[in-house]
Amino acid sequence: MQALAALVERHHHALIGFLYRMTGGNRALAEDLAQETFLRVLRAIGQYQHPRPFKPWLYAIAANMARDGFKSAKQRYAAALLEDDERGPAADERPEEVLIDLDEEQQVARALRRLPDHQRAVVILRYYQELSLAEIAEALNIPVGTVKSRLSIGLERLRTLLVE
Amino acid sequence: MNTSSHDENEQRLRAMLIEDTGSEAQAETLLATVKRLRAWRPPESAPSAALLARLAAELPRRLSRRERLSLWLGSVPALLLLRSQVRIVRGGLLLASAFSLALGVPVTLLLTLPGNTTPLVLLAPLVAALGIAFIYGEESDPPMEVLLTLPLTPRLVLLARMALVFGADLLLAAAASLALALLSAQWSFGALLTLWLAPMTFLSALALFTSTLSRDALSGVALSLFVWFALCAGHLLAAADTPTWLPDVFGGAFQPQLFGLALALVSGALWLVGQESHWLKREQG
Repeated sequence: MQALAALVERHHHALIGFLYRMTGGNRALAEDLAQETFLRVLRAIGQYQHPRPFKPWLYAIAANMARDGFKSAKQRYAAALLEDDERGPAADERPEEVLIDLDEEQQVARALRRLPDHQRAVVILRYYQELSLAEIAEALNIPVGTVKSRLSIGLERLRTLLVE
Repeated sequence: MNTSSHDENEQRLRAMLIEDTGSEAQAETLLATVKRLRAWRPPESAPSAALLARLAAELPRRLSRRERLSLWLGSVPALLLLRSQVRIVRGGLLLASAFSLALGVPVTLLLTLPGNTTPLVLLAPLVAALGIAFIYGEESDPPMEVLLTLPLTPRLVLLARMALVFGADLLLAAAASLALALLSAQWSFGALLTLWLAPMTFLSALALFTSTLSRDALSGVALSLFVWFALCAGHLLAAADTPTWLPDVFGGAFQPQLFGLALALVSGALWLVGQESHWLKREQG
């Protein structure tokens, strides 16, 4: 039980971050998917080969969850998504800064949402989760070359989308 | 964020972009985009007690020794079949066998028969044959209709029962022999085993074959008893140096012949059971 608590403590926040961005900023869905990811990790722990790094294995499961879960829950969580987008400012933030930040975050979220799943996953794993190219390749079960090409194409597309 | 950490962060992002794109110029073009991406932070969240409780409920429970044994027994098909047959085979049969063989030990110690004949050696084959005779037949098969619907051949079921009853009798006879060997220096465990094993196997196979042929356990019992009397007579006459045409199978001779006959009789019984199940299925169809 202690080991489980430590595992969750260590990866929960990062996993929520990954799933939050993968689902286009849907907090409720991200939390549900994080719980499902941990459950799958527990159920499949026998398949984990110990010396191999844990993070790519965890994100492999999370990426699958995000792909499947986001599609099926997209409509179910539409209301929650709106709620998240319209959440109120924190006490220490000035209203005009909050508006600017929200606008900026919404633009980034929208741009990421417009990327195909496979490009969004590599961009998030690389530039938010800071996984190495090899770790991303292992997590998504693709060659490192494919990771690089998806990153290049994805970032170029994001650049265009964020300028528009 | 202070200036130095801001610079470090930018340097790190630039290095990542160069590694990813393989071009410093492209990295420079994309740097601003990546910096904007990084500004989007997820909401703070800590693992809740509810999440931990939900996960803790999924943790595999450590199984008790009994549960592990039960799981193992349930995972080996042959053991599962044997286990199912334990419920079918009458417990009274095994109890009677145990009682008879236990009684055989003091009788052997106290009774003196001609030619150093050991009563336990004569008794063990009969006990096993009587038990085996009752493993087949309508009275022994109340769940026959259920058995016919299972993906198991009646031959397999019969083999399982035979293994169960014969195995139990074998163990009981071995235990009785061991007790004799321990109680008296006159006998050794190995010698006793050699004397009763072949007759026991033959007589059991004969009882099984007769039961399946006549579909009546009592026929198997009757023929086994008759043959057993004849074999005992052959042994006692040979021990008394009286000329007879009856073979002395309890003297340790004829072992290959007895095992060969037993194999033929068991094969015959299995063939008969297979034929009967075909006939029953045709009747039902």
